[in-house]
Amino acid sequence: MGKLIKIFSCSVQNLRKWSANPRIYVLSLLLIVFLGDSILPIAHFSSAVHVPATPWVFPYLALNQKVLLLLMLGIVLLFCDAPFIDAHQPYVIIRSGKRDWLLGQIVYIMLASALYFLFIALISVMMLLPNLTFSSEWGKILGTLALTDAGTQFNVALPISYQLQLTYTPIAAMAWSLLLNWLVGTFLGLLMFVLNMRLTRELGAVVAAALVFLQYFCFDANGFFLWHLSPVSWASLGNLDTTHTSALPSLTYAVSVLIGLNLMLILLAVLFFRKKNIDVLPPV
Amino acid sequence: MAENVLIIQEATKKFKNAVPLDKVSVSFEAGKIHGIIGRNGSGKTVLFKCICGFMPLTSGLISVDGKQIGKEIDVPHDIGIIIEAPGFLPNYSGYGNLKLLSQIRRKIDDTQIRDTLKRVGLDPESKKWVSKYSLGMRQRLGIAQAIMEDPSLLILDEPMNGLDNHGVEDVRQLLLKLKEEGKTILIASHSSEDIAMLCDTVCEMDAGILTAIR
Repeated sequence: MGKLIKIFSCSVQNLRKWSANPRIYVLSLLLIVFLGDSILPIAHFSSAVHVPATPWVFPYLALNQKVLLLLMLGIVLLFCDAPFIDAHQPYVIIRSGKRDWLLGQIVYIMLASALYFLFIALISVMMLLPNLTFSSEWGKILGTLALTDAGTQFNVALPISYQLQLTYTPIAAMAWSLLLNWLVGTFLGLLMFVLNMRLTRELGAVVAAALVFLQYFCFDANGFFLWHLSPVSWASLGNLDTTHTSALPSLTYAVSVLIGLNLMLILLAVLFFRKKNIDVLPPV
Repeated sequence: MAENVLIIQEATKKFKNAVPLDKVSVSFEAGKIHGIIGRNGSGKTVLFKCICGFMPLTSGLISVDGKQIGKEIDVPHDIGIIIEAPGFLPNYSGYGNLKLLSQIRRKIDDTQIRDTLKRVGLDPESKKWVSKYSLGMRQRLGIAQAIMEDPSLLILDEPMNGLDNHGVEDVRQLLLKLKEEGKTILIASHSSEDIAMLCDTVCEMDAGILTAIR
């Protein structure tokens, strides 16, 4: 129990630094401004037809490749200071021990990734206010946008997929989207942590950003093989095969490979950290 | 004769183009203040980091309280440190910062945190953020975080940095009091006056080599 408290305390110390970190405020502002471009047209459409929208927009965000690019580059910005060794950390490490501190940083990446996507999900709901209704159905607004071209008059750029509505209930789509985005966010965070710790701090962000752009090229290349090698693209339910009729990766494939990759990165972090010097790095 | 609380044998640390520690062997007796002097870059901070387990040795061994760093333990268990400039969460008070650090080991309560702040001359009730602290106040807070959990070994790298004359005198008295309480203190300082006044033994480091001079 004492060990768990130590690990959790190390994570919480990092989260408490957010309130004094300008990078977090810039990131939040960027998300609000750019997500507004995607979500507010739905709110305007809902207001114009006097029908409240249901709060299930989040699963559609990653269906748009540019929005997915923005969401995942946000993760790169969030974790670009990995392995998080600032001038405060030696005083944490001397109290927790190196191993518990390391586990604390891994838990921090998982927690921060979860908070990041929960924040985006919350924004996507808040932007629909005040024309919002809670229902376990997709609702008339999302249903109409999926089946008609009514959205074009209101510049609705998000691809509201009818296929997704047929395949998943709103709650299931929200849950799967949050899980997939969280797994991808954790993967990118752990990847940066391991690369920055083992090599140089710039490398992690470069490799993670390259993976984020790889999903962008998947859309253009349209190569099914490439979809299987692009973990970032699996954050979108639209890039996964649900009908077992295409060569796209399945939901099971995406979830199991992401869990496998994350476990492998955690193992590498533990191995590399044993011989790592604790050098205080300047803030990003 | 008091036992050696800290034993360093043939400790060597090599980087690609430098050898900041070169076969350093020395033992430090419990309950005394030990000074280490040397120019910038002579290897004092690297030695301190190796003692704390922050830098694995290339060869040799360091043991604290009979336990070898890097083998039996990853960091010494009963230790307080100041290494380089103490870092804090800028938008928390001094008390808030110590409270957060204390939650890791959970060895002390709020009263002990407040008493430690008073002991280094800081107001425990002050709501002032650390970002508004002067360099001297930060240094006092650094000393407070090092001593607050009553460790038996203190590693202090330039603890007088940023302190005015009054502050230096306060910290000297505090260190002598801690020695009376039985603590072992390892201190690096550029001030020959501090070293002469406080230290029972003095070593000099030069280019990674340690020599006992008193």
